[in-house]
Amino acid sequence: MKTLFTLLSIFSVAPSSEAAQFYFEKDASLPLVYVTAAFKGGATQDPEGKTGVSSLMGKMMLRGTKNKTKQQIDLALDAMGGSLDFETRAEFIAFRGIVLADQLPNFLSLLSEILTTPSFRAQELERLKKEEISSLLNELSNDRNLARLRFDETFFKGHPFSKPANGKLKDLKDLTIADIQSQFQKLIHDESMILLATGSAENSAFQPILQSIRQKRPGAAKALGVPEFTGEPAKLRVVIFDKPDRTQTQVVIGQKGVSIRHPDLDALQLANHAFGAGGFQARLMVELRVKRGWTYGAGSAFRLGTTPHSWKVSFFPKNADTPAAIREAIRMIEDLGKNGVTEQEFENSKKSLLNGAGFSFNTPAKRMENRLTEILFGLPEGYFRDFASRLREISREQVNAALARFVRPEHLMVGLVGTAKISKAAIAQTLGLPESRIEVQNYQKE
Amino acid sequence: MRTHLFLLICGALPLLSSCSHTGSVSKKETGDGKFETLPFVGSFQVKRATLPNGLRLIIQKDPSSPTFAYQTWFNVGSRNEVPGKTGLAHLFEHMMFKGTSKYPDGRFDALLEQAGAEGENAFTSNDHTVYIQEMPKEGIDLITELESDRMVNLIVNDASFKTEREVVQNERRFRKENSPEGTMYQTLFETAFNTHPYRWPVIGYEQDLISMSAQDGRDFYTRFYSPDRAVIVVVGDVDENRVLKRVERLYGDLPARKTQNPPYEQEPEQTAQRRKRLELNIEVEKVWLAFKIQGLNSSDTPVFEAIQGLLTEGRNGRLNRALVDAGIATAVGSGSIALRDPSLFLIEADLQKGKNALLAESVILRELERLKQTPVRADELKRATNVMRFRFMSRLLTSHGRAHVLGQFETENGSIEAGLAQQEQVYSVTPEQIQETAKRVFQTAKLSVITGIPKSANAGKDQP
Repeated sequence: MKTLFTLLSIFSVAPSSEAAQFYFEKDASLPLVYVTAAFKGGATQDPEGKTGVSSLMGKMMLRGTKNKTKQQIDLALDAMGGSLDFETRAEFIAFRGIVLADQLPNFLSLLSEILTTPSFRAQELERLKKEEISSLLNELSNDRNLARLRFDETFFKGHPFSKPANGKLKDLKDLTIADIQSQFQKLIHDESMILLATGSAENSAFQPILQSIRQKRPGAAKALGVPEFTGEPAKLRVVIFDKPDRTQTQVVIGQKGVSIRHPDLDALQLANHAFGAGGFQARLMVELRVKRGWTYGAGSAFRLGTTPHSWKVSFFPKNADTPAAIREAIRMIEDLGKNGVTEQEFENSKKSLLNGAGFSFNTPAKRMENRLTEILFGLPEGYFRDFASRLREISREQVNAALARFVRPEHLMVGLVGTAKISKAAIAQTLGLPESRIEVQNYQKE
Repeated sequence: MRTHLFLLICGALPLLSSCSHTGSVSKKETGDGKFETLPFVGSFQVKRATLPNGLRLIIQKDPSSPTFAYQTWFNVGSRNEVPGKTGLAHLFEHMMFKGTSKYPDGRFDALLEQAGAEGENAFTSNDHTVYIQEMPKEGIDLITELESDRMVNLIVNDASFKTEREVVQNERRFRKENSPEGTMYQTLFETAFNTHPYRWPVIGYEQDLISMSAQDGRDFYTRFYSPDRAVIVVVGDVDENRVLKRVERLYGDLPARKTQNPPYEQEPEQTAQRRKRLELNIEVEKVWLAFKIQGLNSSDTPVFEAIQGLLTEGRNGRLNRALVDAGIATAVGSGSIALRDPSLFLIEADLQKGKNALLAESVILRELERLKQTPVRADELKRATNVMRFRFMSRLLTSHGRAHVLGQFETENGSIEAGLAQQEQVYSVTPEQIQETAKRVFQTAKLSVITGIPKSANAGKDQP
C-alpha cells in the first residue's frame, strides 16, 4: 500500500556551516515564523538534590540579559507580536518562539542576546522560585497529571527519569544563582544547539544568530547520556497516592519501555495502536469504555528516550469500578504478551497507521519537530517520514514476537491517585493481594 | 465531548472565547455557480454554498498537505435542554458515534480508523455541537457518506444509551467533581445566571443523567439534528466542486425539520454582586471575577477583546504586572466567554502560596477602575491589539484551526463576513471605547465572584 503521504517531500534542509545544527523550511502561507532553539540536556541532567535547575535556568534566561531587564524583554516581545517560551523535557531543553514575519530580525537578535548574555539576577531568581513553587502546588490539584508525575517518581526512584521537569518543591527553594550559572555553563553551547525554523522567511535571516552563538558560546556540552534503568519491581507493585475525597481514581499501569532506537519499536508501536492508541477500536477502549462504561478515557503509550523509559496504560474509573478495572487491564496486558494481537487487529492497525502516517509530518511545524527529535536521539534523517515504509514490511509474527519479548506483567507497577480508605482493601481483595502489598503514599509526598 | 484525548467539553471556554482575525472583508463575489467566494485571511479564500434544505457548506481549499479537516457544526447545545434533562445535548453527542442500520455500532469508528482519520472528535457547548475529523485527502467520499448517514439514520437503543450514560458520568466526575477548576466553572454559571439555560453545566447534573432514557435521546435527535441546523466546514486538499456535488447528492434530500427552540426565560438584569466561596482540594487559592456582558454579537465584543489584550495577554498585560510580577499570583487570564445570549467577561487568577484571594480581587478591581478613570495610552492599546492579532493568526496555522474559526464565524457570529468584520474591529478599538465600556460594564452590581480556598483552611462559607 502506498499513500500520498509518502510522496510528500517539500522539506528543504539547510545545514549550516556553523557548528550548531540548523534546519529551515520556508512556508509563506501566513506571515508567521516558528523558531526553536533546542539544547541537549534536560531534566535528567539536573544534579541530585537540585531538580528543576535546568527549568529555572531557561526561565531565568528569559528574565534578563546584561543589557535588558525582564520588563524590557517582555516589552520587546509584545511589541514584535511574538511569543518566546522555555520548555524542559527529560533529555533536552528548548526555547520556542513564534513571531510575525516582518519582525523576525528583531526577534532573532533578542533570542541571540538571551542565549549568550543572560544576567541571572538574584532578586529575579527569588521571584521566579516563588512562582514556580506555587505553580507546583497548584498542579497538585490536577489528578491526571499528578498520577503520571508520582508514577515516574516512584517507578524510576533513584534514576534520572524520576526527576520532574519542573523540579521538586524541596529542591527548588534551595537553588541558588551559582546553581543556575553552573547549569548554563554545562548546557548552553554552540555545538549542543539545534536551531530550527519554519515560516515566511529566508534561510539567510538566521545566519547572524548562528554566528553569534558560535562566537560567544563555543564548544559542546559535556557527555549527557542517561544510564539504563534497572530498578524494575521484582513483582507486581501497587501504590496509592492517597488524596482525600476522590470520587474517581486516576490509574496508571506501567512497565519499563524500549529506547527510541530499539529494533522492535515499529512492531511495538503497531501493537500499541491495536491495544490502546488506536482510538475507539483499540482493545482498552472497547473493553473498559465501550462495553462496560467504566471510564471516559483509556489508552496506552510509549514514552521514549535514548535509553528505555516506560510504556503506560491509563484510565479513570469511579471508585466502585476501580478494582475490577485494574484487574481487567492487568489481564489484558498479560494476554497481550502471551497471545499478541489478532490477525484482524493487525490488519486494521496496519491499515490505520499507514493511511494516517502522513499526519505526523503534514505541516511544516510537525516536520520541524520531527527533525529535532531525529537529531536529539540520533535517528536517521527521514525516520518519521519513512515510518510507513518500514511498517509495510512488518508481519504479525514479528509484532507478536516483539510483544512476547517486551511485555512483562510480573514487573508492572500500578499507581493511582485516589482515596486509600475507599479503595485500598477492595483493590487488594480483587487483585488477590494481602493489603500489606498495597503501598499508600500521601499525594503531596515527592 | 466524546474524545479519549481529554480535551475540554465546553466550546465556550473561559479565556479562549474571543475570536479574532486579520485581513479585510471585501464584497462577496459569485463564482462556480452555486458557490459564493469570500476572502478570508492572507491568501486564503473561502467558498460557501447553501442547499435548498438549509444546509450550509463552507470550503477553504489548501493543497499544501494531502489532508483535509471536516467539521459539522449543529445549531444545538445545552441551551436547548430543559430543567430535569440537563446534559442531554452532550450525552447525545456521544450517542452520535453509535450505529445506523447501514453502519452498525462500531462500524463508523472502524471505517474512519482504517482510513487513517486523525483527531476523530466532537464537543458540545452551550450553543453548539460540533463533530470533527481530519482525513487523508482520499477520505472525502467516506466521511461525507458516514456523516450524512448519521445525520438522520442513527439508531438510539436502550443498551448503548445506558452504557454511554455511565461513560458521561465518568466524564462528569473527571471534569467537575474531581477538578477544582471544573467545580468553580460550574458554580460560576450557577451563580451568575438565575433563569437562562446557561445556568446549568453543559455536561449536566448527576441526577438528570441518571434519569435520562434512550427515548429522551431519540426525541432530541428528531428535533434538533437536521440539515437546516447544520454547517459543514471542509478545509484542505479537496476539489470544491466535487465536494459540493457529493454533499448535494448525499445531504440534499434530507428534510429540513425547521424545529423551534424550546422557550426559555430571559436572564433578568443583575442588580447586586453575587459571591460564592468554595472549599476545594487545592493547595493555593484561586479567584474568578465575572461581569455580566451582552452576547457574542454585541458591538462590545471587539472592545472586550482589546481589554483582554490590555489586561492579561502577552507579557505586559496590566494584571500580569500587578499580580504575577508583584508576587501575588502565578497566572492570570481574562476573556469574554463566547455565548450567544448574555455572557460573562471573566478574569481568573491562581494565587501564589500564602497569598489571599481577597488581595488579588482588590488588585483586579483597582486595575479595572484604572481603565474607567484614565484613557489607555495609544501605544499600550496598539500592543494589546497586536498581541490579539497574533493570537488569532496562531489559530489559523492548521487546517483544523481554520475550520474551527470558519465554523465559529458562520454559526456563532451568523456568517463568516460578520465574524471577520467583528475581528477587524478589534484592531481599531479606541481608548474612548475602552473607557466607556469599562465604566458601563465593570460595575459591582454586574459582578459574580467565585473564590476557591484550600479545604484545610476551613474558611469556606457562602458570603452574602
